[in-house]
Amino acid sequence: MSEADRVFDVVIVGAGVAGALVAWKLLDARGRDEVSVLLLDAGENVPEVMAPQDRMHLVQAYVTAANKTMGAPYKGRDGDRLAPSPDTPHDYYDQAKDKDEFKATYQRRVGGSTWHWRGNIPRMIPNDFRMKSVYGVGVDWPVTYDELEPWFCEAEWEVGVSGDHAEWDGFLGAYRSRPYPMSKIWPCYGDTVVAEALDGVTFNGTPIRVLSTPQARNSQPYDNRPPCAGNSTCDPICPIQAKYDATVHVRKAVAAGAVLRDKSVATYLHVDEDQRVRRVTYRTWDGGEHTVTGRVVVLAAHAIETPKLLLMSTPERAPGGQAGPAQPPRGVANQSDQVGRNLMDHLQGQAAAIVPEPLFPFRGPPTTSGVDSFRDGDFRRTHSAFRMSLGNDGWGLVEGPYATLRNLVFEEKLFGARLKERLADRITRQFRLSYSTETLPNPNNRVTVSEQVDGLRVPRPKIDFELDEYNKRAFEVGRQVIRTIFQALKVTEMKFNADPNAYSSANHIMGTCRMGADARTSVVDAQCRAHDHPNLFILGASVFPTSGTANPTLAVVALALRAVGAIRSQLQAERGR
Amino acid sequence: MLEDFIALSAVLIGEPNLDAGLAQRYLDRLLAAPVAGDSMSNRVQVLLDTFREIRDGGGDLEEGVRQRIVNSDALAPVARQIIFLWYTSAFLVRRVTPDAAATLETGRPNDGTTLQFGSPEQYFRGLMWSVIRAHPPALSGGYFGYWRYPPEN
Repeated sequence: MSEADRVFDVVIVGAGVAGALVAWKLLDARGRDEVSVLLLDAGENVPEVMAPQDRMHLVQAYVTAANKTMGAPYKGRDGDRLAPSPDTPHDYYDQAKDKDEFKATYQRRVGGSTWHWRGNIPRMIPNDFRMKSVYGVGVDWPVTYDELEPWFCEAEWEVGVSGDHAEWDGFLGAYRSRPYPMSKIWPCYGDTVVAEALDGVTFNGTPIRVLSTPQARNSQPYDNRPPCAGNSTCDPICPIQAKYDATVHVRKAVAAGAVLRDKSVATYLHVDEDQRVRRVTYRTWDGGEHTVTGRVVVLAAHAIETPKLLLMSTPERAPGGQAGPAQPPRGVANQSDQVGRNLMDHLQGQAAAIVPEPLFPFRGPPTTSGVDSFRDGDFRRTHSAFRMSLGNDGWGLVEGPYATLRNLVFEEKLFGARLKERLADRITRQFRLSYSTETLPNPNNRVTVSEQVDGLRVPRPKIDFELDEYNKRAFEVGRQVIRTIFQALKVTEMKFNADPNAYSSANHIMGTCRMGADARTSVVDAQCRAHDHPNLFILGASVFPTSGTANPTLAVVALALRAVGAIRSQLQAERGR
Repeated sequence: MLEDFIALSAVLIGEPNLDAGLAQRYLDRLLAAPVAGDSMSNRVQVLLDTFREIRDGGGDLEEGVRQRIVNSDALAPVARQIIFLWYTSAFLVRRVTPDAAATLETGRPNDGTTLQFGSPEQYFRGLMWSVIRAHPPALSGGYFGYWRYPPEN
């Protein structure tokens, strides 16, 4: 039997953090002789995946890029056309007219978006899982914090998280049954100055506490990777892989026997008469069309591409016009009509100030501490919770250092010693704060299939997205908290966005294949198994029913690790058929 | 020409000891930069001629540069690019349309202005980072935890 005809035990679409981890876990215990795993990725398996010590090409691409975006290190290759990754709101998405812009970006290459994530990895808190019961908004998850807690611990050890156990144990009810594998990333000098100024400061009775941010960033040698050396370009590229990225588990999976096929864009999922999804059709970058068979299929292509693939898999779009009789009219796994819906992100705002004494930003990770005091509370009945970050990156998104220099040279016309003094004085005293708000699931916020296509003639994602008052009220509160903090710091200058509803994206795409107990209103069950197809699993943040305020990756990893058991059981059952 | 360029740069950025090899690369990039209107080599020539006059005329060098170069509508645009270049290794450029070639910004920078870098080696030698007591992003030369403390004096 040729490689092309081979039937795999498990076919995984997407070699990002969820797909790579599951591939490795399936193989790790049993090895290549017992389980066969195929990892497909739309993007490229660049040399740096297998040779992490050789990242200078990516670093060089980034430092010489005119626009220092999340995608900057990764562009300039065929993937830009053949498996495009959104780097701006309009370069790939087909955005609905007269709605709000969806601004999240992601990366389609082996290793996925963890190439460019910042690496912040706090836990979700208990009330995030029961918004409907506690606050009467959103929905409840079909799992609780208690059920996921051991998996959060597993996840923290698997990716390597540096954190302060004592500081975080029990915070907002989120108890911890295991310590962090590594002690925390030390707060930057600026954090210590700010924390001192905020001692005793409250907002509406809530103390404003500065907490160290748990990070998937080594504070010591861990898993054959070095400790953080404070290179400060975490997003979008860690030059030394002190920051975790999923290539760690891609390498482990491949070493354990996973077959990795890159440049393979999944375009169709075939449904058999027993409701199983076994065949995945994919298009390779050379334009060829292939179909591979798995006993179990796992979708882990992030929260835009996964639902898009499901929605593309309708009878009308069957390859060769040959739709099977069981192909569902609304796409795969979509009897609930929830696939692609409930699109969520964390919407952020920033404000900047000049503080009286130097903080010396741009040394160390771009943020090392935050204010988590507003991540829960009775106010969630009426407005979003939000997490706040202390910036260690000057004026952050408000004004980068190049713009600051540009103003001093071209507007104020400074030069020589005077320019040096003014530049040093200004940037060393720059400080910024941000708030990152949860969004509620809204069925009208959704991903669908566009008529527009990319360079491989694969449909682009169409996005419908609108903010609501729940968010906008939170923006206002976030700004008030920032003012309170600026006051405590006795800032001499501050800058807020003139538009109070201006927002940027945290790039936390969630919700589009949501988890639930009821198959009529959700796409997957508590084990991430599709309600409609027993051998189809969906991983990643697309399964989140609500967004909470934590960076999603820890829950993504926890749910993926937890799903391995169900995937193994299903594989046993499929082998018996 | 190189010596004059180094001497002028030293005054413009307040740094007496500039590396001649880096200066040669920057001068080459400057002379090759597309610019609207008059050619770059003419502009650079006039700039350096003026600087030589200031230097040969005696008197306060910095004051002379301020009066006759930094405050000159004709000469200031290129002088500012030289400052920006040493600080960041980048020019400020603008594209009139997205497909047009980038030209050196000679007016007031605005949203249409972007950065144009040279080599990574030049990037890592930008002066901005040491002026703000930090390091070129992506190359800290540091050890875990250094950011906990303010920079040493």
